[in-house]
Amino acid sequence: MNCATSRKFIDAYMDGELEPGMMLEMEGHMAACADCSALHLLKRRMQRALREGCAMEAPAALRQSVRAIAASGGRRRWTMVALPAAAAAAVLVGVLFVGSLAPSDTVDAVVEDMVARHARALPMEIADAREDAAASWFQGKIDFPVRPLSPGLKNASFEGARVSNVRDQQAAQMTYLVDGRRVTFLVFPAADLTIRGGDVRTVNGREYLTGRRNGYNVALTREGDMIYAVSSDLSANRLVSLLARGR
Amino acid sequence: MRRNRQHEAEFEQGCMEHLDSLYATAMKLTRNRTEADELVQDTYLRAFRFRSSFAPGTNLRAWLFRILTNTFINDYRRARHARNYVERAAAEPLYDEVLNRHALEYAGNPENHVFNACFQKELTAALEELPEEFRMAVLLCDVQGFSYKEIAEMLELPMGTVMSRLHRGRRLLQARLVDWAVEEGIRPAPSIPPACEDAAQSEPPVPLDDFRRKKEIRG
Repeated sequence: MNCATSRKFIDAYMDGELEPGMMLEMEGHMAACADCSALHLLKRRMQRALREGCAMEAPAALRQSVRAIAASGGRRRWTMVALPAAAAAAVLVGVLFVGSLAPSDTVDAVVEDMVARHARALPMEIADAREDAAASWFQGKIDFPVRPLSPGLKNASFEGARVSNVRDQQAAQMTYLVDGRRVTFLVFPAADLTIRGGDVRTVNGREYLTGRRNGYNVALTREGDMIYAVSSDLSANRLVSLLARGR
Repeated sequence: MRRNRQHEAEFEQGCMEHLDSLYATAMKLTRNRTEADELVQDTYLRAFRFRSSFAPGTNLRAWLFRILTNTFINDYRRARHARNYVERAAAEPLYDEVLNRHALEYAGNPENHVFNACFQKELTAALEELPEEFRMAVLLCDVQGFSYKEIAEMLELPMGTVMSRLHRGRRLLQARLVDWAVEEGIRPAPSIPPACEDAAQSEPPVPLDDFRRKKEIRG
């Protein structure tokens, strides 16, 4: 062991990530070389200083909010106790405003929600499953039938499924990889959702709405009383053709 | 039924135990109290909502940190403003080892409380200025003590990428310490690093797998 080799492995040595034989060799070198062992000591001191410097206790208000989240089983977000009054008031106004939009949503509100679902990329509740297993997995979890997208493309693969929501509606969410890009597919009841606005395209006699937000595209279509929607950073045309092919 | 409830209680208690370290990490990631607060709440919301995806008996702490880092990456990350910092460090000779004995002679005394406090303050400040991906690697490894493998799984990155981010992050911190040491008069400004050290430093860290493979072939 010379210093050049020791310097290459000194971080992994400190982190205990070397195999046992190498660990011993490094220990031997450290015992013999003042420079390397000084450096090792300094690195350890840095690590300790970082650890101690970053240690922090969560504020009591946050602890309380987290307890409430736990008690609700993660179903509700707790209020921001720590927010100054003015900011809290602003949040409240925002909530009321969104609330008043609820009965007849514009396409923008749905697009926003869709993009949020896509961008968040929450972990799938089932992964490593086949696409056709997803439909039966949703049974009992969601109160409407779910048919997967089956894009029927060579370079598309099913990645997983989870229960989600769009606006106030429960939604079945499935993730696909198409051309290596993540595509979120959502199925949810149209219910009393009135979707206005957006660009309308017609493919094979069926209408598709598209929208865009934060660099993501959304395409959706209505079939009976269900809405089928996809969102991704693929082009709007591509998404429409995915939907058209998959339905 | 009772067993379920017991599991539930254990899960909840387990989650609460990691609140401080999740919050500390959120503070360093967002650098903002309100956002840290929100990030932690979002993390717990997801943890409780999707608790069925947690396999009992596996590492709850790693699972929670995975949710935290993913939530941060997807919902809280913004434009990278620390770019200059990286470019500067990449352009300069990497005097990784310059802060060695000189500084150690001064800093080596653990009883030097004033120095320790400054050193710690300087390091934490430098950490906050690191580009996000390096900061995240350093936070997870140095501060939270996760293994390379755990971090790789958490961030869904190859282990080599984790190692190189960690390496670069640590090196940026060291460079910053050198600047500080010079300013404080702890050590003279670095001259051109000796050739042998330079050679060892300009190379990226050797991937562990490569090294292991080499060992196998040899012996």
